[in-house]
Amino acid sequence: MAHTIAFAVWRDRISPLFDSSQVVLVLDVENGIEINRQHVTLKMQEPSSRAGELAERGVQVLVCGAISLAFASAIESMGINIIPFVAGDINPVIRSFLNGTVQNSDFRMPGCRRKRHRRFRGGRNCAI
Amino acid sequence: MSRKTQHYPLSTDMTKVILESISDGVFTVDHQWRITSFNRAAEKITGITRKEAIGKFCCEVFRSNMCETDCALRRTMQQGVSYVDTATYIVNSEKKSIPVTVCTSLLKDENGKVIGGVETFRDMSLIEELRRELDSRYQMGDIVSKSQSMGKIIQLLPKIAESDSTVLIQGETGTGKELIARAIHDSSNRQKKPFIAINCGALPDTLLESELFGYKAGAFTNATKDKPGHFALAEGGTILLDEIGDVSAAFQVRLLRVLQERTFTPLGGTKPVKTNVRVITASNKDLESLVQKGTFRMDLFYRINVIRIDLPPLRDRKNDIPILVNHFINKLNKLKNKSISGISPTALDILMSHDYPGNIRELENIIEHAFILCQENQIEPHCLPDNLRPHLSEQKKNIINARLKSVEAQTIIDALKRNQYNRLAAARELGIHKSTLFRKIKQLGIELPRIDGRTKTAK
Repeated sequence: MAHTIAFAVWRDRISPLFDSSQVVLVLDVENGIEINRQHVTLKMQEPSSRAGELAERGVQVLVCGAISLAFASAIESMGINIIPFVAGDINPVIRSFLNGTVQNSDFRMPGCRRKRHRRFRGGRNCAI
Repeated sequence: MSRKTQHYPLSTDMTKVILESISDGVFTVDHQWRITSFNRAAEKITGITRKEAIGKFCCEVFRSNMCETDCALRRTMQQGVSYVDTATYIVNSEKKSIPVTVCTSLLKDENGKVIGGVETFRDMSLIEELRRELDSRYQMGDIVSKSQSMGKIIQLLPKIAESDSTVLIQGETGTGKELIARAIHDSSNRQKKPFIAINCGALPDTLLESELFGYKAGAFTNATKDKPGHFALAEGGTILLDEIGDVSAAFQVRLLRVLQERTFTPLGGTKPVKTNVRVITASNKDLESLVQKGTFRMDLFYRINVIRIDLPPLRDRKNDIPILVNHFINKLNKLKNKSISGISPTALDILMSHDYPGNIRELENIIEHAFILCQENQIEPHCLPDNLRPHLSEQKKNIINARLKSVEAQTIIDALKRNQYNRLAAARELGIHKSTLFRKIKQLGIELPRIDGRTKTAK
């Protein structure tokens, strides 16, 4: 099964905030195997136009760092799933995504601990 | 003897205490952009604990919209210059944007060696919220409003414009029906084509028919050549049929046919002409009640009532008056090449207390009137039309006020006497609170005997 996933990147890491990300790495995956990757510069700044830009590229999933509600809802309204609050070097993140572990791995932004840590003091879960 | 200021070097502990007690967020980074310290306010604003933040890249903790493109701290580290009050926003773990202002500077050790950078940031959410509240207004073209009812309409207009459906605009005279129709046209795909407004109530049937549909040469005496009607002129654009409630029953049938079949026949013509015009209708009458009375065709009503906009009268949205006054002042300053800066509070009070049967058009005319008379920098009460100004002169007002005060004082004295100067009982009788009574006694200068009604026996 073919999928197109966009990773918001900055300096070989996941970009800290999608709202101001300039580049996405678009990955074509078939049956869990990467078949193509391409860096795409995002031209649009405004949430709905930026969401449209991703949708035009056929993106089905967006993996990014922090993202504001305005951008998140515009992207979700295009039928694109978001995996937000991811941090780390791009290649390990891609590997983790392909393994299906990116949401449960250590590639989480600070302040976005996994649920099982929540009972500890200071633990916090992110709005995913 | 001159006093010398003594300087005490801050110990590390003291610095920590200070940093922990301030409400601004503070963090420091090393040369690798990893966070080395994170104060309590920073934890509170970002929602990230110090434990989680220390050692992480600052951009992944701070998550501001300038981290990637225009980081103030990076500029400071590169140029050695401090930056103060750079406005930006950060995004917390709930995806909420928090407006902040940021100050950055170099972090040096005791020998003056740069060991990193320091960033302080202030949560501006409350200030932004207050600023938005003060400045909250809805605007589209020439339509400005602060009221919720108009805001809802203005927010809907782009969607209505996009739809290309027939629109019915209802509202009292002067509420801006034509402005709304124009705003719909201007934001629609037809914006580059003509917008034509015609007042149907002003013309008799035959004239209205020739105006709207045009005529062929020889249709009537003096019709020497073909004349296109408004429908033909507005081809591809929008036509506003104003005062639709005033057209005759016979003409309503002709209009219904145009709307249903999208064709019309010019006077004296034999072939129907196809039309691609968006029809917007407007009325200052309630068409629904006209339908119930039988003076407006039900089928035409349902044909034009696809999208309905009811414009509120100005008296129901008086909080729009100041913003509209400013809007008209700016507009007239440009038109008349004047530089009136605003309106005085007294003049604005007078405008706020008027009922505006002529709605916004009346307010605009009032401001235009004031522009002609106004010699000052701002509109004063004497610039306003006579019918708005209070009729009473200051002298008459003073006389009436003095009479009112003496009647008030007498009423209070009488009540006190009846209650043997017991203030509480007198206040009860007058139906006011005792503190109000004391205030009135002081204000009106009423002198009271030494007994206060609570004294049992005078010695």
